Amino acid sequence: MSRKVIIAIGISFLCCSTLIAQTPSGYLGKRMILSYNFVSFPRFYPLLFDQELEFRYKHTIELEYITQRKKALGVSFSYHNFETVLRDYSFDEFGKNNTFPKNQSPVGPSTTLENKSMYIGIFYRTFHSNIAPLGTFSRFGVDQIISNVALNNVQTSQDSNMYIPNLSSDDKYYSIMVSYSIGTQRVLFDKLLVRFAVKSGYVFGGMKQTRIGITNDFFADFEVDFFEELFNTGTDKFNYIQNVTKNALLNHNIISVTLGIGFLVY
Amino acid sequence: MGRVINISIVVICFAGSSLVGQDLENYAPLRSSGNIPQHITRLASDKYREAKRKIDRNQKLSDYKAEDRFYMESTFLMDEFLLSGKVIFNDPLSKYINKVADVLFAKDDSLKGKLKIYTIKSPSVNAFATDDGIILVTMGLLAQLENEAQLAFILAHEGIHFKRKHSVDIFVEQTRIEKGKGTYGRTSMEEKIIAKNHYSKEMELEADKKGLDLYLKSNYSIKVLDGVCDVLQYSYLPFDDLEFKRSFFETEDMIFPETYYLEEVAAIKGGDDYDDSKSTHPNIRKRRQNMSRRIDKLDNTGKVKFIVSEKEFIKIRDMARFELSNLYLLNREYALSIYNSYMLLQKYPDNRYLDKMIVKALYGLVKYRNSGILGTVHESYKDIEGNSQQLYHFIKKLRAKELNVVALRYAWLAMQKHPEDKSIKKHANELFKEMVFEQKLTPDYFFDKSKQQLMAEEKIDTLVDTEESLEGLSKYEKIRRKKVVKEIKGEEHFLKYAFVDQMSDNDFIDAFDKQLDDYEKYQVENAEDYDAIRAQRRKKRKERRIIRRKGKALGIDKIVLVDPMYRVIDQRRNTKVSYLASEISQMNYIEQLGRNADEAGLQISILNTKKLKVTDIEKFNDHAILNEWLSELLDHDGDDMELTVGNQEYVQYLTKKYNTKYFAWTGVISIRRSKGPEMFWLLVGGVGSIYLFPYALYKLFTPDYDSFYYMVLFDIETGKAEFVQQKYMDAKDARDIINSNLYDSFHQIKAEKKEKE
Repeated sequence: MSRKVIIAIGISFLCCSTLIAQTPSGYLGKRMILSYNFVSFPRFYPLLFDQELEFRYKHTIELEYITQRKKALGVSFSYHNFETVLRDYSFDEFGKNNTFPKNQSPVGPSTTLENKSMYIGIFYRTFHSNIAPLGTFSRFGVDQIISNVALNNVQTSQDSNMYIPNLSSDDKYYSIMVSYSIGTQRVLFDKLLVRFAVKSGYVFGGMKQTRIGITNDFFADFEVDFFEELFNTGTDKFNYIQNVTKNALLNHNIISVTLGIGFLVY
Repeated sequence: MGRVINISIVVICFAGSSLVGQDLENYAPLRSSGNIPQHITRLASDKYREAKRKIDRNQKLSDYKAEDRFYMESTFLMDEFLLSGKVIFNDPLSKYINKVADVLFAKDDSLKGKLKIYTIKSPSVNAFATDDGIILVTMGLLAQLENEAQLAFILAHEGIHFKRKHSVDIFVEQTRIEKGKGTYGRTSMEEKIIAKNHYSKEMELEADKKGLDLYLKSNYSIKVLDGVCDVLQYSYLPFDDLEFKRSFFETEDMIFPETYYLEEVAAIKGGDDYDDSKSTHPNIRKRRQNMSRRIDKLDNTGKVKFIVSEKEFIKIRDMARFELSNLYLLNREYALSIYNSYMLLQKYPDNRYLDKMIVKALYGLVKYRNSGILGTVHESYKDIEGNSQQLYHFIKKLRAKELNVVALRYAWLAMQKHPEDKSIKKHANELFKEMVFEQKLTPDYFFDKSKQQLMAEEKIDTLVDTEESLEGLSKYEKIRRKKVVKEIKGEEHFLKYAFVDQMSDNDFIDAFDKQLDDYEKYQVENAEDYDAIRAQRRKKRKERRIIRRKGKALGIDKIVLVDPMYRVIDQRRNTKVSYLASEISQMNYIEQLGRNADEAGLQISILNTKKLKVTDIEKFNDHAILNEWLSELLDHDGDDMELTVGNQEYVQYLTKKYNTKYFAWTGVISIRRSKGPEMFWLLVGGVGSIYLFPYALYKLFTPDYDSFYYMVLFDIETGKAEFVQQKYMDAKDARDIINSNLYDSFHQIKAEKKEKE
């Protein structure tokens, strides 16, 4: 079913429920909410290497409609731009032992995945005790993630003669994420909605990458069908980057904090 | 007698007829009239601030704080009490008491014109004086007095409490005792209680002594003073002690068995020398002795029992006694209400109001008896002294069917005597319904002829069969005759004679038939048709689901909100209620009500006692009667009873006046909690685990609140609660939270049901 059809069904459901069914109260009669969320969470592991604390961030716009006294349905759109740095040693060590070497500085050839992801999702928000849209809530969401990934910025370490060809890609990768958030909402000045939540998302397929072993000369032998050899299952460049992407998305969404601000439209 | 330090606020009051020329034949409960006294309309916060300015700042800080707390609590609590409608003013009783006070305090400049005296609608025998010169006298006390002079002495006693500032003195002293200050250090809890009561008793004895001095300056009789102690001693009894005659409920042929009556009623004991060590007042014997010592040798020449008017005294006392019938009814003391009305009927036979009170009380008894919980409203006759015990015993002995028939018979006769009274008629119909629906009695059960007529028809000369009377009869004729004689004379059949006169009355038969028809329909509707039951259950489940998801849709356009309430409570403080904050929050809440009602498109009128003008007497009385009605309704509801409340007839006019039959009570209680021991464990956990630490810090530095919101909407014509919303929230009473709940309630009240659902 195409996305347009899903959206059309959603809109008609919201309209019809208002026309034929008794309307819930909302806040002072307002049931449609347009909101912006800033989703972020610090990446703690750089601290282990004396690096600066990094923050992930994602921007989300949500449009939701209160369908019952304590429930709301909505659609969301998010934009997520991040980089994944791939280092030669990291594949070696990380892939084999599933941990980062704690006493080794990050040197050696590296490349960066530039990931521009869009999330298009629907969600369902249920309020625990108060009447929507106030108080503690649980939010259940499903998102279709569309990632545009580019590989560039190949760097070679000073003490290595290893050559890594510049690799570029502008393919689209698709993932599905299910998420759950728990948080609280308040209304200020009878119009403005503020939101705080902790969110956890699971991106399907994301764990595969951590189980793959990759050698140091991975990029040097790029001309041969390396991926075929490596994964033995017809894995190609596309699959590899997809795995890296999903893994990164999983890492970025597994836990995050949401700060939101919204407007009670009508 | 006593002082008002802490008065529990019970929202009860009355409405009724005008003050002047109250007609006892067409009596209706009293209500306030004229302008509302200005000190009642002023905000409590203003009164408190004014009182606070008068506190001596040079005294010890602890005493200053205690005095401040006293003024805070007493001002707000008294204000609430005065506005509840339980206190009435400008009524004949209050006017008369004020006249007596004017005579008594005429020569005392410190009291003359400084007192504000009102009547409390309460059956208890009591009087109170507050520190700002309000004296409250209960109707129960007025009903028990023998003469005006006794009232004058009680006023003198209360006047001294005010003059000597006993209320605040006792409060401050009790605070010192509580905190173990000065000589009260290291005293045990029991010693503290005794010390508190000892000080209070000292104040009472001083009020007796100084009050007597004041009284003796007047021309009131000295001889009546011993009677004041009698009034106190026997205050637990009804206003008189008259024999309860069997004939009140019996007829010529409906004679109840002897076992229904006591051979002898319990003697009145009325002890006066009880242990008063844990009482705030000295025992009556001590007070009587103290008084006697001083007045025994005084000359009573020229002293009189009445100065204002004996006739007026009798009139207002009777009015107080009339009021008691209703007050007992509202308190669900049905037997006492019947006995009180019974005694008054000796003086005012066939009085409509009194008959109505008895009908209502009987109706209450029937409803509770039929529900099997009579014990909740009927005291054991063993605990009753005097002649009223006979009535308590009689009611206890009556079986449900008998009580129902006795009540209906009385109600039917009252209806015939007072056909214009709709309330009696309504109660008679209700009793008919109870008899048919609950007791399953049909017209066949009752005889339509008297015992004498039945005997004549059967050609029976005597109800005692002798061999001679049966002589010559066949075996079958003998059997038949014995059966007939047994039925006519049998003691167990006395109830069948209850409606001998009424069975030939077409109205009675029609009413009976109507109830039988209704019962038949009811049986058909409730027949065990499993398909219908399943369909009904499905429908109800669907309705419940819709209500849970979308709320109710009552389609009501207008409601009246009765005195919205707001309480701010801080559990961490000694004075738990933050009175000033509560008052401000209440004002804001009223504004929020208006805003949310506008948004929801619901018309509302607010009966707000916080912003009354002196001319708002109608509003004041409307609020009072509604609170009284609600109070009784909730009492019954607490026992899971559905019945027409006693004062139902007095709220009916409000439907027309406000153009709606829907009246709502709403309020918010906000509680700031003290952090409990769980906080300690959370901190321990926070120190032990990095993940809990931020949460522990958050909980440590953020206050804990609980809020409770409620709105209950009644249809005052039926007494049915159409909408009930109660919500406990683990959150602060923030504006958006309150708005959200209010709008949700109003939306549900206003919304129309949509066909598809």
